[in-house]
Amino acid sequence: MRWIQFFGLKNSLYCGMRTATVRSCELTRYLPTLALLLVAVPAPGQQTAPVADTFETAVLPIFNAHCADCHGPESRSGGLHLLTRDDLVRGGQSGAAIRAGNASASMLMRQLERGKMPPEGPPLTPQQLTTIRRWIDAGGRRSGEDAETARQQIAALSISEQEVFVNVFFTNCLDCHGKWKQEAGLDLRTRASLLKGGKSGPGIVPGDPASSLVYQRILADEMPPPKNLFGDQQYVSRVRLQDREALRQWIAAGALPPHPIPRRKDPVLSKERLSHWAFQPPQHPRVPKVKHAQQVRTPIDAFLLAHLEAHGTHFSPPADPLVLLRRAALTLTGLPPALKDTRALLSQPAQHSYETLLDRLLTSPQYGEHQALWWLDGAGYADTHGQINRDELRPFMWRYRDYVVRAFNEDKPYDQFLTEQLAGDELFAWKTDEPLTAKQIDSLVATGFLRTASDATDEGSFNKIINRFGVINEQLEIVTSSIMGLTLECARCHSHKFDPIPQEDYYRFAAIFRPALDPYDWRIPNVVLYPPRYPVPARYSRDLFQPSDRPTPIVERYNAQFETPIVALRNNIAELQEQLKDKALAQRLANLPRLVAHYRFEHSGQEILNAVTGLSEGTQTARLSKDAPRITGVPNRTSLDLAEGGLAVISQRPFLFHRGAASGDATLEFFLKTVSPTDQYGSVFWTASPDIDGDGKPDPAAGAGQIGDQNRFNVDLKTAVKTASLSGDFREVDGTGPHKIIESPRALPKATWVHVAIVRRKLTADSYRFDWYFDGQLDATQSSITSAPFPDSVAWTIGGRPGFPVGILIDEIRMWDGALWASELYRHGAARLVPTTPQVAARLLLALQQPEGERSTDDQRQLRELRNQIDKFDADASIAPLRARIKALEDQKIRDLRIHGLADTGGLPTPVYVFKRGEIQQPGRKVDAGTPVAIHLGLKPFRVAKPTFGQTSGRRLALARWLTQPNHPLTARVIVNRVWQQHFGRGLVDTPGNFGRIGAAPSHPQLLDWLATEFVRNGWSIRQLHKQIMMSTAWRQASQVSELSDADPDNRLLSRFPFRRLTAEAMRDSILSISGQLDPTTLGPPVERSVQPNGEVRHLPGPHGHRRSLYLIRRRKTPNTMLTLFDTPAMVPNCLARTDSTVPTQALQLFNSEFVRTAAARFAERLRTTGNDRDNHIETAYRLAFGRDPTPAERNRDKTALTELTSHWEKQLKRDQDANKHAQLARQRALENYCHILFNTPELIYVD
Amino acid sequence: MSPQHQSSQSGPADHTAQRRRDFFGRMRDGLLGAGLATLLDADLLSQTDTAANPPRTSDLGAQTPHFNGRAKSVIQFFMTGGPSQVDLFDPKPALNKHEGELPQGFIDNVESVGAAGGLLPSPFQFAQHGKSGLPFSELLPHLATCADDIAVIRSMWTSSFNHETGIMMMHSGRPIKASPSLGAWVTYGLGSENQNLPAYVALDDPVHNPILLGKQNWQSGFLPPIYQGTRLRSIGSPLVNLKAQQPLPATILNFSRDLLKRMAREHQTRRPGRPELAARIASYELAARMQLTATDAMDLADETADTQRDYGLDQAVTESYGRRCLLARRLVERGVRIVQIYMNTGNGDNPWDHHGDVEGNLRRSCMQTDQPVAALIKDLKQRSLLDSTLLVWGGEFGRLPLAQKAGKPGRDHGANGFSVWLAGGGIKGGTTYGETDDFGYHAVDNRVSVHDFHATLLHCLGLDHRRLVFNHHGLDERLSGVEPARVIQELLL
Repeated sequence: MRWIQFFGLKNSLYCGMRTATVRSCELTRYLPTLALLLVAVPAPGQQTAPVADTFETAVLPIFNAHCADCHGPESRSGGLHLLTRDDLVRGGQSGAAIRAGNASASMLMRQLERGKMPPEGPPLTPQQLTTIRRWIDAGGRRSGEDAETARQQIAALSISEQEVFVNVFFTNCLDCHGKWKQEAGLDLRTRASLLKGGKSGPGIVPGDPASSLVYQRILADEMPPPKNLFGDQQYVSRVRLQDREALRQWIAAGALPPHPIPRRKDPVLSKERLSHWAFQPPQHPRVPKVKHAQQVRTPIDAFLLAHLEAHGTHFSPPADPLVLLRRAALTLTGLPPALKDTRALLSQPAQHSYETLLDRLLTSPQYGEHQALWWLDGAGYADTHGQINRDELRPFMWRYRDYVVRAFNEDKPYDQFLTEQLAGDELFAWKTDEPLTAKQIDSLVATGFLRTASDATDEGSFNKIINRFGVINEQLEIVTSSIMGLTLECARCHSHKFDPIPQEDYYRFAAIFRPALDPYDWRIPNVVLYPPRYPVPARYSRDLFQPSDRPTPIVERYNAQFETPIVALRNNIAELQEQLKDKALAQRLANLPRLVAHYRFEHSGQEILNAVTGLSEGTQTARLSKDAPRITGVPNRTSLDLAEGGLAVISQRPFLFHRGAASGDATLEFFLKTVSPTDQYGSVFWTASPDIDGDGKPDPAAGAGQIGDQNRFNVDLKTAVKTASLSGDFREVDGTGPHKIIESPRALPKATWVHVAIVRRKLTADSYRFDWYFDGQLDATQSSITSAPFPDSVAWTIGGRPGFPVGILIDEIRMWDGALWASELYRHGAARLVPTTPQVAARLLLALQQPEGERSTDDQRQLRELRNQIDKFDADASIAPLRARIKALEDQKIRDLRIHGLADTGGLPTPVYVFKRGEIQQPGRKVDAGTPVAIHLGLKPFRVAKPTFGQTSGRRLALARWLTQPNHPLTARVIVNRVWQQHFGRGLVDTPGNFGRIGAAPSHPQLLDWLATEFVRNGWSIRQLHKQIMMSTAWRQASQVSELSDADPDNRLLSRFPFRRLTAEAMRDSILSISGQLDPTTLGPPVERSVQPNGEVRHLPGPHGHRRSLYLIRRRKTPNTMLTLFDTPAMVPNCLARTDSTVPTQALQLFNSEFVRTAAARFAERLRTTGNDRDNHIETAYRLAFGRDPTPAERNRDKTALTELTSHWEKQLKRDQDANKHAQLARQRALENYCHILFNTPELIYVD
Repeated sequence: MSPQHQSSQSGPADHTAQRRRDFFGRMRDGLLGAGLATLLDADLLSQTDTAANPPRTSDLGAQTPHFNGRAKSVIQFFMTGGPSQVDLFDPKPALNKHEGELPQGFIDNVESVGAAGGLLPSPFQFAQHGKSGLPFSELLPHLATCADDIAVIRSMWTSSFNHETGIMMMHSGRPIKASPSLGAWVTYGLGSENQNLPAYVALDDPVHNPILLGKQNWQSGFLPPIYQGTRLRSIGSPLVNLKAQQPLPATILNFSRDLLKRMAREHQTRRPGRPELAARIASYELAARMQLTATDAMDLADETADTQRDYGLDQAVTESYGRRCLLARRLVERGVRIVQIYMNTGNGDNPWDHHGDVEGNLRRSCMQTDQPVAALIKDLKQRSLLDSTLLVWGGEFGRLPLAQKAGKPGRDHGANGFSVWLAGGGIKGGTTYGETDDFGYHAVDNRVSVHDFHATLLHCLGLDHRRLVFNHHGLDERLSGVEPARVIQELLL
């Protein structure tokens, strides 16, 4: 039978987030048997391997002849050299080249046999291949070794310490034996701590797997503990068979430390690669002399003209001032010019100063908003975490967005801007400094830049180590592409193919972030700390909480929008309650709750006598199970002592919270007393499948199931406590699984009898509220709404679970099939109040039906008292939905302010290894934090100085300091290029995220350097940079294609201003602004989206209109339909150059969507406010929409069109309706149509 | 940019051509809409430009493939959840002999170790069908009648046995989010034959719960967004804003469109040498046409009663899936490049994820799909469209030959070896390829990786998977990954 036992079949790994490839499953590696079968049978005529073959005699000569050029001591391509057998075993970047005794599983053999190696020159001959194959299969001996020694030596070398630590310990054990906890005194982070071991002795005994505790516990499946394989720690798994084997081998071979791998210069650091322009510091160039000197306004013009003139052309004539106005407004603010600006320019062109206009635009609040959009593209900003299933909100991410907006509006120097985003948390002791200044808070918020990558690790199945690495890789790519213009990502799997970036650079760079982004010490998104529901240690939260940061005016404004509807709903409820009161009171009086069970625990001397007093209806008998509870005499009380785990089965057909109760309401009353002052907590009632017959197994007849089944119902009570601080923390605890625990809101006093009442009130079909009374007083903090189904009928028991005694006495249990009023409950030493009896109820009911004046004083008093109680509770059935709506609105308010940022997790981070081929299970050399080695010319080296305040490693701060050196070859160039791209559509380097050798060469290298050096000289001011660019002739020229363009067909030389389409955001904002619907509010929490019935995702307006597109929530899974259609990019992971598309669905959106239709109607309304004059309408429309006046021809054409449209509508309206306001309505409709057409015209969405 | 998209840089010295190059140059990825380039060449540019070498750009207009592939379009039946190979296509009699045994080596690859039972024989009978004698289980009586058109790959394997990553892998060749799907790559490579319909269509059941991963199934990832799939709803309005909620009266609509066009033309006239403006105007016309075409394509009223019955539209169990199969044919007929049909169930489960009661549940899923799928094959064949339409059936993985304990036994996910089938589009029917071991647990012979699979699909369409590349942040990305993938020649005619 052909059946092979596969074990540890490797899940293929992928090589990258972007360069990803799934490697073909290395089947052969796991099929040693098969592989041996295949090769062990020699082909006919083939000789068996001579036993004497050794590396030196048989293999080395082949390597020397064919491989030494690339894999010699100098070149060492791929990190591999082939001088000794052990070199082969140690391998290179791709891991071990040979595996002992298994040629088919050896990478070397595969590369040779597939003809991939040698890459040039003739392939090895079949004889040579056979020789090598035979040598490996025979054990891979060196001269002077026997086969067994060779095997051992290879095994010892093949299994590296890193591999064992990463794959066994880091992946599965550090939660309990690492930085935060050392259970049993055992720390599995280092070799030394492993050898030292814990309470039970050394972790391992080198050379002796059988005596190695850690290994044995893993082998026995005792570790990791099976309970950790589920729940929150889903990433923990059984240690794979192959990793167990590796651990065994490593121990057996003596638990050797990592073998030293000689460091050699990576061949990718060649002179040629290192001389690439982007790695040389920028020099301030001399401004060239040009012929068309009259066109030179700024040095920028000179640099551009020099190139233009070299091609025999020059700049186009200046653009019309109105064109410039619109161009400048849209470029800087993303909005069309204000109507008053257009008017002013039209009426008094002479008084219009271009520079003043620029200054005004550059200092308007909308400048920062529009600039933020570009920056956030590069930062990969989104308001949700994932893209897999849940896509959960990042509720405080918007604060980072606001930080960016403010930074641009303040013109924060770019070096400071970067430093705060990379290391804002390392600038001061934010954990201990108090109170924090606004500036400090800002710099914490800024680290949101390092939390933008999509992250699905809050979904259990995506919280694997590999997914965590995925998040980190994405974040690093965002950092390197947007700030450094580098694709470091390639080097994750191998040294860069084009740039002087050795593989180690990637890992050294990752190590900068490791103290904060440690895949083996991970914080999943959205662990909620406030308000506390569970005692979550602060270390699990990603949010940097800031106790001193109270809601800002932004938040208060934001919260205010929910107040109006909340007040309205409250009034609504009050009204409803008033209407319902008498009705509810009458109903209640007509249907008094009935006492359906009453248990008294009698005793006779020391013996159990009888536990039950049944009531008339039904047979409410209860039996005590065999060995359980003793009845203990207590002064005044006879009770059930549950202190020793007694279990009493009360009934098979009980009624506690019985669904059969007419209204769904029910009440349970009992007396409790704690007996032991040490018990803190205990389960008092626990109904489960009862053990009636006492055979130790649940009684199937009761229909209940096992633990975790639905038919369980717990009432837990906190009992006497050592400290007095327990009350109020917990309300309802949602148990795991479907059953519900309702838990007492307060601790019981010690050794005192307390009367407890739990009243269940049905709110809706499947939700209840539980009110708790202690000695007749409502515990105000206590009400629980639950939607879990309750069983129809289950038996219930009193007592702890077996083995979990509760130190409680219980007595006098009563159950009612309705909700008692507070006045009806027992109290200590007090009788129940009204109505208590049907007779009283009947009397009151009668009195209720009479007019108030005719009631007796006594009745009137009682009714009033009852009415007051109804006010609180009984109208809830109809009021609950309103309350739920209030709650929903309240939930949208922002209460505490947290910061979604990044900080070191504390303690020592796990070491960073180079991963061979990028595979996280193939760790190689350990590396320290560092920056790419190729970037060093003229720079102070990257140097980590641990901040004096101690809580952080200082690595990211060191990166920021290194990056913001004035002569850094990339930092300034990359940002000036991105700003240039905003203005001219393309950067001077056309690949803004890649300045490497494979990226585009700069079109104007000198200009780039001039801009970069000027930028630094101007104090890294982005605002200055904009102005510098916009003051140039180049920027102010016309966009018309002319004969000047002939020499510059693709406008790379900028012989004209680039004609371009608006971004999606600017388009939407323009439509809103023109139609007068734009809410000018700046900053604050994002606008939630709304999915329309037709599937369109929109963001609806608030009371003050639509917010700018920047403030629309960016949900990865449901982006705004219109913005997406017009090329707002998905953040995968970020975007450094947007694309423009022209597709019919855009036309459909503009022509048919409600959004544009509504905007057109509002636009028309706005025009009508100027009166009824068509000329006026047309003129204002043109000024608003296009920033110019219509030409006479357009005026005529549009007037005619409006007339015609009006007459069409008149006809149409006559057909449809009988109203006589036709003329007016038709004019209105026609104007709306006209406005709608204007919104569809190309002129609106293109900029000259 | 893919090789076939490389633009010719040697234009004539003529003004217009240069300006046009300006336009195409600036459109970094040449994002022109459905057939716009074609239309521009035909209608607009040719008026002023007689150049022999019109510049090329990547757009949704039809593209020249790398070589002549038989298939012009693809219909993919994506069976989310992971259909059980040993109960459908890959009979394993050895399971009967070893029923209940649990080979230890299987355990590392079982998701819920605790629930793993022993080997579970298929409860279904297999029989051979057609001239080729291809075996099918009794659950697929209709498909069995198409045996000689079908090639079953029995040796698929994938890297993930969890749904989400498995689906991503099967769609995009990577187990990671935000990767371009097969459909996006195909559309990028071949463009569209129909100017008035989306090139890449996804059909799911709009009535039921959303399918797992939703629109990520047809996303364009880092490819430009025009290549992303469009979800056409099989009932109601097929496309967002295809029509206005309150349509304008016809006279006013026409007047508005005319006025808009006049304004746009005047705007364009004042800006000579701006092809993007011509493209924009053309897009208005396309949108208007799309409104009609898409509505028409989705209207099943002109199908005969016989056809509707063949697809099972007359029965509740097959109606939903049958409707989408029939729509797929209508779309392919109209030149849509790739249609993906998804299945969703009313209860929110993955339709082929039979952890429990594989006997009952698999029967139900097959009943919903077997007849419509077979009807589509026959219908295409009868219309001579089968040879140019590649049909692809399969899920993100298969299932284990083991029982999953819990009442009536089901089967857990199995990624090491499972079956998919192909038909039409140059596929050699009546064949099987590859083998799993005697228990159907693991593919042993002629293993087919997801990359091999994708490479083969692309090959059928005339695309060389090594040459279909897109430069993203400086890296040449391809559907079939970095490591060499193999076109399975044995499956091809």
